[in-house]
Amino acid sequence: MIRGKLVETIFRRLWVVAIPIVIVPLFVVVMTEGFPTYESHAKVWVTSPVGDAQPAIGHTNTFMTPAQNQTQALNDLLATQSFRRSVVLDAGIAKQTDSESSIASAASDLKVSATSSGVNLLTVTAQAGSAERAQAIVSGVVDVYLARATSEVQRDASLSAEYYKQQLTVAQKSLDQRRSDLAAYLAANPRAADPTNAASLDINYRTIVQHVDTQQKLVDSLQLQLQGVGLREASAPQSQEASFNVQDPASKPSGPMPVPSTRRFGLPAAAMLFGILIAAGYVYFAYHTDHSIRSSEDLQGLGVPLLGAVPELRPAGPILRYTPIGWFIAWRKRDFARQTAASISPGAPMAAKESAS
Amino acid sequence: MRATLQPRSRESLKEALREIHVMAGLDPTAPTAPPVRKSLAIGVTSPHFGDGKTTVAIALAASLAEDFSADVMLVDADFHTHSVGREYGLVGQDGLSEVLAGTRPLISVTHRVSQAKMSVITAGSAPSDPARIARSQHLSTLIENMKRASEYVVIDLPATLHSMNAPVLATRCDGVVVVVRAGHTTRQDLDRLLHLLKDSKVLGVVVNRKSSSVPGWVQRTLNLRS
Repeated sequence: MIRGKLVETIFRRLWVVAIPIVIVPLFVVVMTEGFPTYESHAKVWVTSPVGDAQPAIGHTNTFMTPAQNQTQALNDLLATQSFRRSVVLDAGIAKQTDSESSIASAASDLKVSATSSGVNLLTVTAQAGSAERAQAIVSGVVDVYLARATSEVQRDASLSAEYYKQQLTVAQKSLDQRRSDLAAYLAANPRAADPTNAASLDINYRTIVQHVDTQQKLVDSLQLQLQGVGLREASAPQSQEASFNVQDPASKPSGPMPVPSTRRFGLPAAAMLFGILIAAGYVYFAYHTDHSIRSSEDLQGLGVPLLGAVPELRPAGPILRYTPIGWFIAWRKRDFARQTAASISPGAPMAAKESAS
Repeated sequence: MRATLQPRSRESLKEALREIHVMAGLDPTAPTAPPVRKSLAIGVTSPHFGDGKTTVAIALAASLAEDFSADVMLVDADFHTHSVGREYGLVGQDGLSEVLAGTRPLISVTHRVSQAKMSVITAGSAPSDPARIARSQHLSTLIENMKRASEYVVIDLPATLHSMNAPVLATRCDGVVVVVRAGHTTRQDLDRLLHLLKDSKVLGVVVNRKSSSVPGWVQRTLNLRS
């Protein structure tokens, strides 16, 4: 049997009970529907470096497609705060003049990821509160990635060039030394210069000539390497664009993303359930802490019967009762109940002497 | 200024009081009523001030006079509030305390209400020693005299948890009606009150200012008891 007091507790606090049941789902609906999300995409054609060469960023895993390799590298970069910071600045979401904390906050809030869509196709996806911002983020990611890759190649080439230059200087010096040794030998043994002469077959002469040839080959090789590095450094931007070629630039979303039905209906339903639980907890607490007497149920165990219940006598009607006017009338006529009680037996009291007579 | 009284409020109050008459055994027309009816002194008290005991005492006295055409005497024994005298416009008039002090005879402080078989005795001036008065033999004699003059003597007692005179005065009554305020008076307070009134005959409890927030259709659907 439903206890009357429980029902009374619910209806007496109906507004308080209704608040979590209404407010919590409403809050969830506002949070899911009130802030639309826009999504922008860019599709990039990626290719692997030729031969044994490694990509500018990351490493080539031969068991993965070029798109997967680049996706892995790009997602690794997106996990770093410095890359995100560069994207935020490039996309114009934050300015260099902004405080470091606001730039860091904007960088942390970026919702961007890369996925491979095929063997060579990579998709960069970004979500933001506006279409322009989503587009700017995707463009920013592509730009910053290309710039990073180019700069990485140039840095690598620059280091290589420096190394080869140093090696070439040493090799050239050694070659010069060996040439001068050869010249000195020929000056001492002129017949050795004649290939038909037996002196040209002297072991010492042949050794010096071989040293010169070997050193010459080394110098030639180093010069070739240096040229290649120079070419790599000079063509870094073009080569990166070729291996990371944007096919579909960042799109401008025409409208907000559709809210999934699970999110649209499931979350408010779950929120309502949560609100009901809160309300039920409140009712349970209110019911169990209310020891006031309202009906005969509450007199059980006290050993006294309920004689009756006098209804609450209010001067204001049911409509005005909960309005300021009603409160004013109730205050103004605060003796209303007592006057109503006295009016049951009408008439004014007479003076005591008069009564006695 | 007198409030414009709503007939519906008065009728609902009268209906509630009829139930109290029957339940408390005050209805002389009830089949269970003794053939020879003797006068009754009924005390009305409550745990706290503001619970509505004076309202119920006035209503009970007025309804007994009205419904049964009985001689009813309403006595204000609450020397703290003097509410009965204020309601009937008898503020400052001599009353019970003067009679108990022996300075005035009972008849001289009895105010008969015109158009009704009902009379009112105010509390009078506050006595210097109400505890002694409450325990005096003179009070018992006085109540007997009142019962001889009226069929019902309704005595507005002090709030029991605020005045130790209430339990003493209650023992002088033939029955005591306890008024509790719906939604305010707790079981603990009522339990304490009943403990203090253990030497008196408690007729029962009247729940005052009862209201329900549950809509009628819900009550009907759930078959809730009123």
